[in-house]
Amino acid sequence: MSLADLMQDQNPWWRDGEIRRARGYPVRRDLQPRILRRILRVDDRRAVVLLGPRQVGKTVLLLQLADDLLAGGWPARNLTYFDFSDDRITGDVTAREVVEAEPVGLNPDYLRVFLLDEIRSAPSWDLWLKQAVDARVGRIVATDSAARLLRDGARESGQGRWDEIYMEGLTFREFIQLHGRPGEELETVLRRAPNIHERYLALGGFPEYVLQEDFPEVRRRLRSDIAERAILRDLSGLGVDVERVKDLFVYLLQDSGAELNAEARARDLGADPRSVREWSRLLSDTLLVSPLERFNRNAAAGLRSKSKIYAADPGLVMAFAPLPVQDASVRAKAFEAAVYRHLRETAREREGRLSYFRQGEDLEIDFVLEDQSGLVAIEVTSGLRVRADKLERLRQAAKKLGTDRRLLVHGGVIEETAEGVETVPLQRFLLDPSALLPGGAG
Amino acid sequence: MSGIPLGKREDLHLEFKAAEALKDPEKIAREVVAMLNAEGGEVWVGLREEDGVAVAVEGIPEPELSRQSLRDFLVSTVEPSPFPGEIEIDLIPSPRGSILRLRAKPDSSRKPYALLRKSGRFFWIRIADRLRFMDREEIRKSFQGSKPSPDELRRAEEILKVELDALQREAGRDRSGIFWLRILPVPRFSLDLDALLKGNLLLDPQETGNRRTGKTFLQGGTPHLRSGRLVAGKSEAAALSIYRNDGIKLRLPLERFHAGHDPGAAKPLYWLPLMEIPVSVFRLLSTMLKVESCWEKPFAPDTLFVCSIALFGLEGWTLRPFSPQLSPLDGWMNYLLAEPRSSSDQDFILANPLLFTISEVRDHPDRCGFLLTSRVYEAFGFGLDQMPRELDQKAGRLILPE
Repeated sequence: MSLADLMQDQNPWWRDGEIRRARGYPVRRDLQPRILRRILRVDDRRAVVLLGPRQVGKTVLLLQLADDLLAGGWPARNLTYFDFSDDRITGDVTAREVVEAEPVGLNPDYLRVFLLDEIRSAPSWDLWLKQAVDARVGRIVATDSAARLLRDGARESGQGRWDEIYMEGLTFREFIQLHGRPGEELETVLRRAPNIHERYLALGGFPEYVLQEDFPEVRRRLRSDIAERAILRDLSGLGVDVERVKDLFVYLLQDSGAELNAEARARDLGADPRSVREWSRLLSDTLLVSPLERFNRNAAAGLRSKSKIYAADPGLVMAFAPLPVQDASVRAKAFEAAVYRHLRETAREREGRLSYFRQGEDLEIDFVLEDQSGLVAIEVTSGLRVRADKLERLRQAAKKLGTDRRLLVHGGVIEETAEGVETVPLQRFLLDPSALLPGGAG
Repeated sequence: MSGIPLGKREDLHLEFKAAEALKDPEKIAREVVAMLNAEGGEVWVGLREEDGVAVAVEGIPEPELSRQSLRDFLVSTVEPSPFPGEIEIDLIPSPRGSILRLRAKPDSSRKPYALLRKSGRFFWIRIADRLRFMDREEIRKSFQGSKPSPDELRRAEEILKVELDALQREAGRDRSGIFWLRILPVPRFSLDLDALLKGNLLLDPQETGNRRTGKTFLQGGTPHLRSGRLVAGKSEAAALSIYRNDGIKLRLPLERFHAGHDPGAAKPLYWLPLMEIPVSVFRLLSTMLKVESCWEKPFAPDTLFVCSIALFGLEGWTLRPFSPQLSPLDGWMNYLLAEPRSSSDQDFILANPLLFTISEVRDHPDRCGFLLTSRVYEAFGFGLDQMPRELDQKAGRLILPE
């Protein structure tokens, strides 16, 4: 298939401006309007690089952007979508070739918009993107599924030329929206499905699977579609032993929320601890696991300490669980992963920093959020009832740390504030974590 | 033709019916009920008799279809609802076509059996080769004296009636859709509501054998005591109530059963909560029956549970038969090709409540829930063979993916 034919096929609106490719996906991610606004701003020519793990909906988001632009009257031929991972591509296609393939009938009064999917597959994409932004070829939104896109100088090239935006699996609110009927309020869906957070823990935030009822099949597909491909395909070109990296990945998911013990893992895998640390860094780049540093007022000491590694999404914990998913310890890990996923989002919004706190054997806080408003201690327990000793340890640790607020997210239904600790049920927390933090509306 | 009792005479254990009896299955059902209330036996359909003697085989047209509809009819009209083994229907081949053999094997702990009709319950019994209504004394004896008295049963039915009348008025006034499921113990029992409140049965679905991710009786909110009952739910309109003496009530907005994403219908009822929610309530009761600390006083071992189900405000709602999950191809095809049906009535109320014994609820909670749900499917014109097949008939368990 020639590039011209491929582009005609990927941009059906060039031949018929009424065609929409994302009609089957009416629900928009929270991120989508933000990116749309960026495209429409005339005073900001920077590109957007959207990064997120496989199957979180990046392609759908690009196609929804195309639909919304067309619906808003953007000239159809000024809009170019291109998927560099299209299996029909033979040989290399550069981003320059895609931009130069102008359809007949461009409207000179409008900028061109380029929606470039899986841009890493285009040779020297970063160099091109830098030049394209400088040359003002149009508005550019590019996506990719691995953060390593931004290594090796690409990040430096990008400064002032593009913004990195991270897109993770669905938040709980987005998950609920996908369960709703068109126009249905969040509260109505919640009344209809009061325990929907349990579905979220079991299925995770991968949009393709949220309406499935066959949970074992979802887990199987998560294992094969997301994890195997992300690791075997994305990491295979890096000269690492992908099989052992995959084994490490499974270890990390099964032990989600634990500190990485590189020496022990190296023994398990028959590898060198330095390799294990490097592999762990590569796995973090796939955005399927997410590290959490230990809190330390001295930044250098913080870098030397061990990080905890979490599954990026609760669905991954369930998919790779070594025990039946009904097991309380599996659920507890998914529970923490869900809280961390939402805290990452909150920290990004607030330009804050997340870490965990540990002192000695006893004093520990699962998450510490540090932003302009101060320090917040967030402890997580999936138990149905909050134990008094857990509360007391949180108070002691928070006192040691000097936090301004203490939050305990738990698996029960009670919401109360007692002796300086706010206990919040998981569902309430996931619905709007920011509202429960200083400066929030809650 | 071996096994076909040609030439034999009707007696206490043997009854012959011509093929045309299938046009009026009630006649066959009362023979079965009468045998269940006596010593059991066989009813042969497709055997013509003269003076009580089987004289000719009359093959049945569409025998498998006839077998299925007769089974559905018996399941709907025999009380208590027959468990596997109590009534077996077999196709018996012969050179003149297949005929039906119904075998009735009564469980003495479940006697007396009744035939349910719109006008009430009818207790038939077989005496020699004839059948007649059981008299009051026979019914009383059949309940063995230790079983709940008819007065106690009447009291339970009166409670159901009062609650149903109030709900029907409310649903009509507010034009709201309401799901209601009620289980009343006869005689009344004594639960320890404080102990239940302290435990996890109303917090963690897995404690009662339910799925955490499932559609269950749990409705969010903090369980609390209110006016002598334990309430779990955020409002009266969506709550599970456990009464100290008078059983369990689950009331939900009908909206809770909306399929949410069926493009083919405006208000599609979703098979999953219809199947799982009633089962979850019976699993809760089953668990309570097994846990001593739930009880203030021990319950009577011969307690009966009077169970009813109702869906108010069904106008505009539709239901599809089957479910999409049984097998990748068959299940989906059946589900997608089947037309959703509407209920013929504005409200569905199970006119004749089902009765379950302690052992039925304790040991087979899923079957009890399934039987209640089957009545809802019936109201939409679906037989048992058109229900979702997630209930494993052999194991008697609702098996849903976790």
